[in-house]
Amino acid sequence: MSEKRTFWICLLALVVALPLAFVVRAWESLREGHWLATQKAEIVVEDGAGQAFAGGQWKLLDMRRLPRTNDARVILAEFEASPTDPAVLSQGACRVRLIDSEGRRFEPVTLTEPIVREMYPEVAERPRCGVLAFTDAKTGATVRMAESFIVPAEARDLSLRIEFPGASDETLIFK
Amino acid sequence: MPVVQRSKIRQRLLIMLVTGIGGMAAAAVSFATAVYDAANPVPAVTAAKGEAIDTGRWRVTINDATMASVPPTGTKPFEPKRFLMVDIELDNRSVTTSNAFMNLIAIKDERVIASPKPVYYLARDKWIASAINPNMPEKLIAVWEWPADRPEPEKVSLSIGKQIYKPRDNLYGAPNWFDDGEAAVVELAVTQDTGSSEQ
Amino acid sequence: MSALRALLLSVSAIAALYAMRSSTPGYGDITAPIAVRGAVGERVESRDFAFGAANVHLARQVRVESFGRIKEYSTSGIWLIIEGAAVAKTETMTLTSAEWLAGNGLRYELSQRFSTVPGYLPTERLEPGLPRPVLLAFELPEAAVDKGTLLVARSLVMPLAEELWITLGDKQPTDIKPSVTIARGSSGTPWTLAAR
Repeated sequence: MSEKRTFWICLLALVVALPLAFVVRAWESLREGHWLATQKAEIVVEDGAGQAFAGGQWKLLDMRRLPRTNDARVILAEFEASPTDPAVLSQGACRVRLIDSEGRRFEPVTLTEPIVREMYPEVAERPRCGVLAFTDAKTGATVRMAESFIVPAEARDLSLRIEFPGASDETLIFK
Repeated sequence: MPVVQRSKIRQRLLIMLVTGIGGMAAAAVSFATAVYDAANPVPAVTAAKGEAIDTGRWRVTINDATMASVPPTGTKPFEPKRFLMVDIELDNRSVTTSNAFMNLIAIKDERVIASPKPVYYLARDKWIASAINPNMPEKLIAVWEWPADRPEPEKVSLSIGKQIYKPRDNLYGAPNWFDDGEAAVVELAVTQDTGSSEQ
Repeated sequence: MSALRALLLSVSAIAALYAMRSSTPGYGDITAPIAVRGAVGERVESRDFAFGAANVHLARQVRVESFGRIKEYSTSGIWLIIEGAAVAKTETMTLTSAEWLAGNGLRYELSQRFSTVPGYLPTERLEPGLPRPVLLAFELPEAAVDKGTLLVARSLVMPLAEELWITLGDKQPTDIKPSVTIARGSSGTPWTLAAR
């Protein structure tokens, strides 16, 4: 009788223990998946207004559309940030993307496009958004930055998306 | 009734004794062999010049060694330098293209503390070699820049590494190649290149 | 009788475990890229990018002309050169992995010997919606061309991503040219390819 009881208890314990083992093993992955799936908070800014973000006051100055080839255009985005907390600003790494109406993500080009140098030489000299731009930034002094992108001619409703991992969990979006 | 009971207990005791002694013996043997292996390292296999060495992933043949002042590209360096050049033949026996051979061959010399990694050139067009394809044996030249403060060698010992394939590794169960000590040691006489023959 | 039964049971249990062990796919198989099949001459689509191979050439030697200088690349097998076009669909990317899977299962990576060839696949940055002409070159033994497949993916180390499997089909070249010259193109095309 007692042997039979032990058998059943063991079987029942197995029913509990097996799924528990799965959950314990997958726990880290589940948490990571949840963290990846949750939408980061977005701050949407329209009509060139200023916005506090990642230890600075940010503002989109201009977004120009320049010709490149028949089917491609250069987008020159000019924006500025006046540090309110330079320590926070210099901690993070700036990540800029351009998003179009179809949700396609464009990365900024690393070399300045010839057309930018030709038409807006003073903008071409501006630093790109990164640690270098903020190394000797003082509180209150504005840092002007420029990034250029190459997009198809039919790309519409472009918005500039700035992430600052390390300094802010939010995403700044200029429309 | 009590007789049956006693014999059962005795049987159990015997089983415990046998398994216990067997387990202990197995552990002792494995420990002893590990200690013995560590105390008596197997002497490295020596291979002759021009002999194909099976290293698992690669089939390597070591040919001539020369000291020269011009690298295989033929462009004389700005400052005078000496190069140890070893002709080798390589055959990739694995299923994919690989550049793992670059860590395969090292100079075996206690006095050279950290012998710098050699640069590999393709013998057929004297250009820096990239990864080697499977089923396409290639002739290469391994080039070490010889330190200026050391006398030029008359003999050099090269240690050829070994790699083994595991279909399932111990961490993920992923297939991969792993280093497995030394396949062979090759001792070579180094000839002097007068520099006039090569341009 | 009971001993025989126990023996039979344990033998069948060992057999079942062995069968399960040997039929379990390995980590490499579980995380392998997902194949999207296509052929030369058609646009093959994955979720993130599309690629189409147009022309296939075989040559004994490749000559690369850049800035007036010609560099010759020999091979102990033959050169397989593919001209095609690639486009990103969702984000800016570079297709860093291209392999030739021979009929016997051997994999040949894209040759890394060219550094100055315009439009070479792993150096070409692809913007979403803007197709770019791309060039690929492999060094192969002659027998590996037949029944081979071109594999193109974003990265070799991205598990469960999509990978294009492109067969030559009827576009397999019949002759091996002694030499192919690749030069920087003047207008429109990034390169020109001339066979001799």
